[in-house]
Amino acid sequence: MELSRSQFAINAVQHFLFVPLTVGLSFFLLVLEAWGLAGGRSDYQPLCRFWGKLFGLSFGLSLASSLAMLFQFGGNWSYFAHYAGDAFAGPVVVGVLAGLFTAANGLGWMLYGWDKLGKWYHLLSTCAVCLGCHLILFGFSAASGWMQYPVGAEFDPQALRMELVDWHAVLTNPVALAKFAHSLLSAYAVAAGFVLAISAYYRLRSAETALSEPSYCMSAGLGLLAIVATLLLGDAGIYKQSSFQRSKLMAINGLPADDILAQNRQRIDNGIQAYAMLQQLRDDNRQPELLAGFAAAKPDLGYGLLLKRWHDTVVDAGPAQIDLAAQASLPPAAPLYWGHKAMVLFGVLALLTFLTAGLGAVTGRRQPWLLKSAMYALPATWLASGSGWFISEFGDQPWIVVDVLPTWLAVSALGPSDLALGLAVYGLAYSGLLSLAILLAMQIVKQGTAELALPVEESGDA
Amino acid sequence: MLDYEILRLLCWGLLGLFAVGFALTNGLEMGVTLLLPFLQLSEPQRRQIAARLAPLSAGNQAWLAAAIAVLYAGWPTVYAVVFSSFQNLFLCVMLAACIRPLGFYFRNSHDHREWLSYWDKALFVSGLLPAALLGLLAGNMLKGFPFHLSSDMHIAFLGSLAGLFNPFSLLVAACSVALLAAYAAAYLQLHGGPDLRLRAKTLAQTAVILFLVLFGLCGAWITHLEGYHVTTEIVPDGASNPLAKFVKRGDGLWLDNYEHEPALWALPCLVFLAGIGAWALCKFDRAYWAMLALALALALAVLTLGVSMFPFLAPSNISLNSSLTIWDASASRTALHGLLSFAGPAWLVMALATRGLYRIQR
Repeated sequence: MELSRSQFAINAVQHFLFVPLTVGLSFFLLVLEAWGLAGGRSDYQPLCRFWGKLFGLSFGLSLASSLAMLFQFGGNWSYFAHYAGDAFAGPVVVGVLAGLFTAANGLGWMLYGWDKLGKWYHLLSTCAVCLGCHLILFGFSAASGWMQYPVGAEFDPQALRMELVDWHAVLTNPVALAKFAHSLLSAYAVAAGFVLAISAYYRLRSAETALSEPSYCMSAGLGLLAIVATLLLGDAGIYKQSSFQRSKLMAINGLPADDILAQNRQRIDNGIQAYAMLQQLRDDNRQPELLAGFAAAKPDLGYGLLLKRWHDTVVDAGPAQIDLAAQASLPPAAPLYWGHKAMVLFGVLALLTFLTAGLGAVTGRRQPWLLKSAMYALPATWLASGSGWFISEFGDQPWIVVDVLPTWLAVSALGPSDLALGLAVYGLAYSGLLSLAILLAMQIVKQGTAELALPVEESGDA
Repeated sequence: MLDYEILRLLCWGLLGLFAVGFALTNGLEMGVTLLLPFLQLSEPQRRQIAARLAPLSAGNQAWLAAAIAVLYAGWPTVYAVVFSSFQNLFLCVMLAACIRPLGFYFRNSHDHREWLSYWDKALFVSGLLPAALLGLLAGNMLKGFPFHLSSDMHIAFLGSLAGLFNPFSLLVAACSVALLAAYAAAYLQLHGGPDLRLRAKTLAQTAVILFLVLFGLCGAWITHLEGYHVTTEIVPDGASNPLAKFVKRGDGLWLDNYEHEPALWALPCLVFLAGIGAWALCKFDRAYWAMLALALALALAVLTLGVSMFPFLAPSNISLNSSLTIWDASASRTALHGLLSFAGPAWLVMALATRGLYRIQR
């Protein structure tokens, strides 16, 4: 269990590192190119190419981590894949087929199409990449939002899983939409912070002025807008919908959740009934009253499953075990409390950075301390977005699908050796990929706009 | 809304189409990279190949992701069983899939000899490994693999990694490597410079012959290989409960479908014809048509696998009744309906977009 989770955590960290950057950068690139074209400026192309190279790198790693996620859901979380896949896979398909494909194909045109496509067609390809990246984030938010607020699905006792009943509800899930808006804005901020830091680095060395000047101003503006919007919009919309989300909100604010605890104890009792009836249904008992009883108790079945950790047969659990399960049904308070504080702290830090940078851009001042602070603030937006993801994902514990499936039931029945091997390979592969990425990114930054085309194009077409 | 039965059938066809799309696009990349050491390329030639494939690479990976996502949405239980059982295999496939685009994008960003040779090795492995392992996977799917579904649908894989390397599966793996090599060699014959063209031509011809021999051997083996058959009545529009049926196993049962529907023999026969045609076309320097013939052979080989196993998607060789078929392991009707109406048009768009991207790279 712990091994599965660590493996997943490594994967998820990678995902949360690069997906926001990729989405944000795609938007930045679109703005940059549209601005250059609309202003009729000929010097925008090197800029787009330079940031495009970094985008390509970030996209490659996002693609890798998205693929890895797809393998993970089946590999490590096979019971989850079976139990919730019917509804969960829908948004995944949308994200992959519409988003990933559009972005990946557009990327080919965008990075290599400068000489083959006209200006406007190239802008179109950049548009496609940007749209694709946003769709990926949407699919991902819809899937992850469904795990927090599983609407549009019903439990089916014959197939023994959650079945999709309403596509529309899944794709317009209010939690998912709020999550999408919040993470999209923070993704813009992450990308702006990234661009700002690199531009500040160049300015500090008085190198690449043609590149750093406009990039610095644009990223300061974009970042300021994004971070203000993120803070204004807040994350409250995510926590309104269900009692579990409310208990998460309580934990974030450090408030006790006694009434929710009492309510959950009641739901566990109810869940035990549901579980008992489910066993009879599985034994092909089709009495109408049993079916009706089960239909009524069904929403609490997940709370019955929660007991499985302490009492595998569920039905005859004692009060002590029910107590344990009820305690475990609340999200872990301290990590959420501090995680939220960290998110706000880093968010405010990022706001200050963008504010001072924006002032610097407007007044045209280039004090070294200003540039240095913009450089060293690079991790701030990332940490803010990362802690946001942390409260969102870790805050779901003990559930993998809230109210429906506990995390410890969802893992695959893999041996510890298999898992340890997998973990080692993942760890090695990811640290390898990550260091490779940093190495390549540093090299791209060092090269600057000296070599405008991607090096692979030097030798021309085959 | 369509009947559940028709929906299951159509979505199964769609899954096949996505598998074909993946094989044609990603397979080309794998084939080219696994051929790299055998072509005695000069550095500029290597650069040219990397430059040609770099813009296509990310789109090709998206086909892999799409095929997996469609399997997940259409047959969540099959996805869960296959990915948890073959976890270690897929780990290698995934690493290879991640390395390849990065290799294409960044191989030429340094001029150090060591850096380049390191990337060349990584690219070779990232082509050979998935080509062989996906073949191995196909072989194991045909043989059935040791998983068990408990009454609460928990999945247990009782085999070992070593057990996946059995003679039949290794044969299928070799067959898959040979086919992808032939396909990629025809591509290089079409697009390479004059001296590369000649070497690619020889390679393509050898690989096609090798493939045809291996494919024939697989076919012959399958007549004696234990296949699976559902003995209880199949309810094509029943609930997705895989544990409600009985399955038997017997020699040559994978040929059952061909006996009932003799027209299906056209598929494997056409693979042979396309292969022989490709050989002749390579010989007479019609590289474009040779490549098309090999693409056809590749697509038909994937479909032959699917049709032989129909309606099975994942047979279990230790708990026969746990085997998963397209009827009893599918997603719900609503989910399949959504999948079909979304992924069907998406496949078409993806195919056209991919074709367009390859065309502009010509």
